[in-house]
Amino acid sequence: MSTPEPSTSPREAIAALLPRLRRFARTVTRHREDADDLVQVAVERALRRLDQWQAGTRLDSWMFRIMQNAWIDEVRARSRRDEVPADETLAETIGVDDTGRHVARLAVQTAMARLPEEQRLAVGLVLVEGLPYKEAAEVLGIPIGTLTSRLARAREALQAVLGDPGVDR
Amino acid sequence: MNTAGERVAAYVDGELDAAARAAFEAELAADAALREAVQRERALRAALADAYDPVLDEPVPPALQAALQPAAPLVDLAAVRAARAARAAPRAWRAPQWGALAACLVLGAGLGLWAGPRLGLSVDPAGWIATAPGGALVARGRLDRALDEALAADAPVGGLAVGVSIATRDGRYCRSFVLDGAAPTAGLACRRDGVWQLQALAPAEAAAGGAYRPAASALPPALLQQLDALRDGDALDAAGERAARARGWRR
Repeated sequence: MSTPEPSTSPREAIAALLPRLRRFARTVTRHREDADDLVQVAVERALRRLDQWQAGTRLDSWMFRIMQNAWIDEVRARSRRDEVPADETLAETIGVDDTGRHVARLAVQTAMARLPEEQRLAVGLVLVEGLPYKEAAEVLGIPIGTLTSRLARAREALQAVLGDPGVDR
Repeated sequence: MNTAGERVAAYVDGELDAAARAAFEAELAADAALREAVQRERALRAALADAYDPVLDEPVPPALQAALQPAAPLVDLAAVRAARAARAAPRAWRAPQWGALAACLVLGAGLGLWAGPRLGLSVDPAGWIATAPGGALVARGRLDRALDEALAADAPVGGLAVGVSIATRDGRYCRSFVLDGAAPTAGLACRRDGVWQLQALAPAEAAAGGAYRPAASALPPALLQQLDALRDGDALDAAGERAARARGWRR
């Protein structure tokens, strides 16, 4: 999933990554419109500098790095200002669903939206996108120790809203 | 990885090497509190997946897909025909050499080299495109039959599907088609003088996930624009399609 087939052009490989780029964008931004805006800006940037991508390195990491930069220096400034996503936005994201799962998803997304941005990025890369610590730290341009401490703080905050799953099991 | 919490996290995140993992699992077997901590981290990952993974199944917005379309993939067969007519005297019917035709399409539209292999159709095209006197490219064989007979609602036959049918302002019918395969190709053909003349060919998007999509949605944007420019009124519905077929695609 992370590396393109040798016969695939980078453009096609990026197209194949779009669903994951959109998922990562949802963890970074607080609104789905901002999320797709972010993917759009990042894709356009990536296409302008395809020659900078090194064959043999992970294309997904390269795209996540471009997305992170695009978020910080362009998209964030014009993003929706609400602290926490509106219910209807989330309902639209989630779609028709049974109430229990709906509430659980709402709780997780709201908790994510309340995290400091640097923690959201770490959670998005490692816990949602499944990047190894080393890759995620390189995407964010930080030492691995900084990444793991951001992850630890984020986990603590997210666990607080999830309650104690051990009780039921 | 000093604190217990960070060791649990590293274990769940798959970041421990084999030796550290074995040591941790030995501890785990003897420590119920540690097992509960692992369980809580796994539950967090599952909750995040539940919250965000549905995005993967959403359709990607067209604007995003369009951003990744190669620029101007349309091959304008009118230009190709003009070039051929200019340098060749009228000839009898014959099947063109496909290599020459492909090169001609590429040169005619001034496309980059990438278009060559993408226009290298996945079936032998000599059987379904021929050059008419004057240089027009016309449908033959399988393609000719499909354009005569197939309805948009029909399942593709051998990867060949007919898409949108339109009536044009100058009193003709035109139909789009998509040939699926390793190099999916879309085209537009118009009925004239009892044959289907090819107006345009272009690389089409591969159907996502191998599933066949309605031919109209697989058409490259440039080809859709050409369809739009030619059409007089809406595309034919199923009844209109049948009626036109019954008249032999004459108006």
